[in-house]
Amino acid sequence: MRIGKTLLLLTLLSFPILPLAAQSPFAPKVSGPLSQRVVAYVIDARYDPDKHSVDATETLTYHNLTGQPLDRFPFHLYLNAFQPKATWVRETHRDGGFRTSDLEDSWDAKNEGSSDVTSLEVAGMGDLTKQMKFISPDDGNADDKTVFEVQLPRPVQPGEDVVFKMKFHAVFPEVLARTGYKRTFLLAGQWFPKVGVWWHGAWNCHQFHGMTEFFADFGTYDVKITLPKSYVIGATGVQTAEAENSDGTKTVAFHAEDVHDFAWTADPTFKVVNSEFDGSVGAVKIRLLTYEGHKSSWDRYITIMQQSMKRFDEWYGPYPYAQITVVDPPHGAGEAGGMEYPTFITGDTAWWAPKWQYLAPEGVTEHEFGHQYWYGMVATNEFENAWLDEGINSYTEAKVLDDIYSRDTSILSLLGVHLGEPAYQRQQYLDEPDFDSLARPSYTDMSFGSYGSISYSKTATMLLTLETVVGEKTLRTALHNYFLKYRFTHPTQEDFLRTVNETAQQDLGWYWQQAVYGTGMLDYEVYSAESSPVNWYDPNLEEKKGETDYETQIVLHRKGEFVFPVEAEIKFDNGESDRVRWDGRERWVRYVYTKKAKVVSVQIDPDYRVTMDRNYLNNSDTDQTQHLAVAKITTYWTFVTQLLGQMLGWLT
Amino acid sequence: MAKPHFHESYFAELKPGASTDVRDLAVNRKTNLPSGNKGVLGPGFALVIRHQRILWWVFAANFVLGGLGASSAARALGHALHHNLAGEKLTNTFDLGIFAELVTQPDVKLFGHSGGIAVFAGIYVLFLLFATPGIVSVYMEDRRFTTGEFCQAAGSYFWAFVRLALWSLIPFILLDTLFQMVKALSDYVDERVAVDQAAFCALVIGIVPVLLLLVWVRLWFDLAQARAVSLKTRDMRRNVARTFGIAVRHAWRGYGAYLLICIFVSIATALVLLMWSRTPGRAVWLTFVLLEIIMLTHIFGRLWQKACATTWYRLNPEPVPPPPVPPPWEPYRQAPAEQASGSVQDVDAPLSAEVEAPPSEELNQSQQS
Repeated sequence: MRIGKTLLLLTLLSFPILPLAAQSPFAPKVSGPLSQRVVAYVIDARYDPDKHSVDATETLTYHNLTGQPLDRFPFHLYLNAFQPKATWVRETHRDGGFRTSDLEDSWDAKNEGSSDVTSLEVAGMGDLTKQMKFISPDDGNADDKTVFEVQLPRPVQPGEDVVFKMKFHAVFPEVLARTGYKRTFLLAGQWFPKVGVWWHGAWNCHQFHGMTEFFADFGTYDVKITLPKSYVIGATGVQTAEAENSDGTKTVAFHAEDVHDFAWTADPTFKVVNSEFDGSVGAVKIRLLTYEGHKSSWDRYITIMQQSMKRFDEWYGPYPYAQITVVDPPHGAGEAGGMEYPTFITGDTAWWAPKWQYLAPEGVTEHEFGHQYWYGMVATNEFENAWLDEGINSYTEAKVLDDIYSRDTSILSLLGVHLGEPAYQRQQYLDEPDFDSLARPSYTDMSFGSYGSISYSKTATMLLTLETVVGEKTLRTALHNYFLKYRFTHPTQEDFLRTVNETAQQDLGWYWQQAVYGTGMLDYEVYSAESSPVNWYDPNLEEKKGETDYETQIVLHRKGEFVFPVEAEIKFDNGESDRVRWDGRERWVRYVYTKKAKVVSVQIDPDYRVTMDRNYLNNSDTDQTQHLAVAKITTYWTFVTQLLGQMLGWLT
Repeated sequence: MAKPHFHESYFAELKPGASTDVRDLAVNRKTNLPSGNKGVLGPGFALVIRHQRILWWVFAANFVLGGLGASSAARALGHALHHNLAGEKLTNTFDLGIFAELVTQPDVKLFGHSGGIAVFAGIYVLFLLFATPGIVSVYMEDRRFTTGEFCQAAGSYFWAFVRLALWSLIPFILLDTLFQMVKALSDYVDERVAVDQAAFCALVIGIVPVLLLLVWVRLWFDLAQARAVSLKTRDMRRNVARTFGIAVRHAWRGYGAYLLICIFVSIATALVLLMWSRTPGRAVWLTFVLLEIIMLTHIFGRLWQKACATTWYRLNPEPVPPPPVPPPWEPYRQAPAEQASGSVQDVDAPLSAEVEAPPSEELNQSQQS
């Protein structure tokens, strides 16, 4: 009997997790592998919600597909960024950063996070814990511990595997820059030691910087997480098993393939809303982890997810995974909102989120889903070319939201006040438009403001403007081709530019040179527009409408350095109009008309498609005084003055 | 021994010879107002309507100064938009993208003209400071003033009312402190409580009493204004203290009127905003009219409150001093029956229920000593 109980216990310990119905990480019509799998992570983690910490073992199998022997391996320890002297904090304090404005003024102990590798063993090479050393490849900051490297006693030959076994202890900050806890909520992002990427003949393993994001190799993840059984958990990939433990905890297992990161979230108060999107490769499960207080946003989340997935599926390519997990962070955890990990995104909303604005939850959710394509599958180097992810994603955000909510109202539509995505992106771009080029390594940008203006909005604005040259459909096809060609790889910006050139069947180098590699501004103006009688010298001239011949001269002026072809619309007082196209190569151009009509108005870019133009207010000229807009704003301005006076007058 | 009812401090507030005016006022009150402690909302409303010239003048000043506040911005807008087709995106609807352009473009920098808002709003406040004593005087006497009379009343109390406004900053600052505490509490709740609406509820629950107190403080100082004009006193420190007691103990009917007026103005504003929300984008004139109706409603509401406070004070006058003490060389014996009769005693009536009338002999002794 005693032996029997022991055997039973051993049996239970050997199979501690009850597998769920066999679940593929892919959509029904997809089978892997989809990528060249470089890494295979097996992690067994235990979460302590009181200490907001994780103790875990990690086994990483690295396949050396570099074609050369490797004896030095760098690893990211991102959570060490949340320490006062770390480069991330230093830069965020100096330049601003992701949702971390508090760091500009003060440091709070709650901001502190850490990741300690307590042991590191390499199969067949022994314990190499003492070989670990922190390095600072970007800025030489000796206090930065976000990257360590380990020197192996012998190199790993091409085609050979190497297995790293690590034990680590991670402490999360109160939610900060896309990771951490808030009350009982936890978003565990960048929480485990992650190996760098061998890219273009060298290790690419940057320190964690204030402005940029991440870069990692594709592979598989098998992660078990043990946490109190009251917790609801969600993670990258699909859940494969769950078992309750005798100590009041449970262990949940997840599996993911052909992804390059793994994040998870947990909260005992999560509500789960399940839905589905039926795309070209079969049904994809949408799993929303949200809160009772956000009930008014549940449908909005699901609807925008389905609408976005439909357009991405039709326009760019299929979403091949079985599931997408959408996390709706609790109130006060805004720093966890608006983030992307493979098959796992975080949105943002509030219990009072008005239905007339689409920035949250719709805009954020769409944007983060877009990352599944431009970061998740087309895995560009976000440290160096953030625009290939954030920028292209901002462009597709504009296209998708415009398609759903219309071009002029895709951000806001209330009482006649509206804002569309193109205008929004343009204004964001114009914040700090000319400090950095897109081609500059993003983590070296002048400030977070410049990083945002350039990486996100200049790219979106630049691609929207390019539509006027190659056409909207061609650009959509180019993105489709780019996605199909480079999904599950690490393309460069040249790969992207080449794909657009090939699809458009033209050399757009003139454009890329200015828009991607340059910082010049695009600005055109109507310099003059005048009509005078042809027989102006005739002392007996009597001007009669429809009878007198007029010579109309129009001068357009390129004020900025950026050369770009533009259209201009010229209208005459007899109802005629003409559209001309100017290549913009010279500094100015003159158009002359001889008609029995006077010019009424001239407008450059009458359809407002050249969104890179830095000043729309100098794009037109008309001889008909436009009172209405001035009267409208003046009316409100007057009212504000009156109201303020009356409010202050309440004190008398 | 009971304390004298009309103690020296009360007389000290009055200017020499003022007691006669007070009695005159008491007589006036009886002639123009409903007797007893009735509601003040209706009489206050009637007072504003009877003297609506004041309403239109205040509104005109508000409008003119509002227009002046906008003039600099209007010029900049005119320069940017009068010959520009981009303005069309602001007329049919209101494109925030183009508006942002107006705000950010260096040659327009619309918000660079926002200083005008502060300056002309400030001038309006000064105007109100000057006009308020005149307004209160008109409401107090309930007769048409000539421009000269109005300006004289306004001018003679200007600095007194400035001091009163400065005194009012004390409770307003205290209320602001209270508001900051409520906000801090709400932030605290937001940080620690998982329920989404908890912080908002805490804020609302905390703000309601602050707002109610705010209205009460306004009533207190409006009563102080009425009292200052009524008693022709310029000692604002004593006036504020005295009116505080009055407002705490007796002015709840006036407070109810203040709250009702606030509700009325809020509902009226909401209704006009509802109409505005259905106005076509190009209907700028209609928008203008609707916004001005909102301003007129606010100004009317404020004057209505002042009229209510003045009416309340007229209906509920304070006890006035006894007749002057006769010269010592004229033997004087005052019969209790005489003291209890006449208009002076009528004026005291509303408060006399709470305060014991002093024995005449004690009063005489104290005055003689």
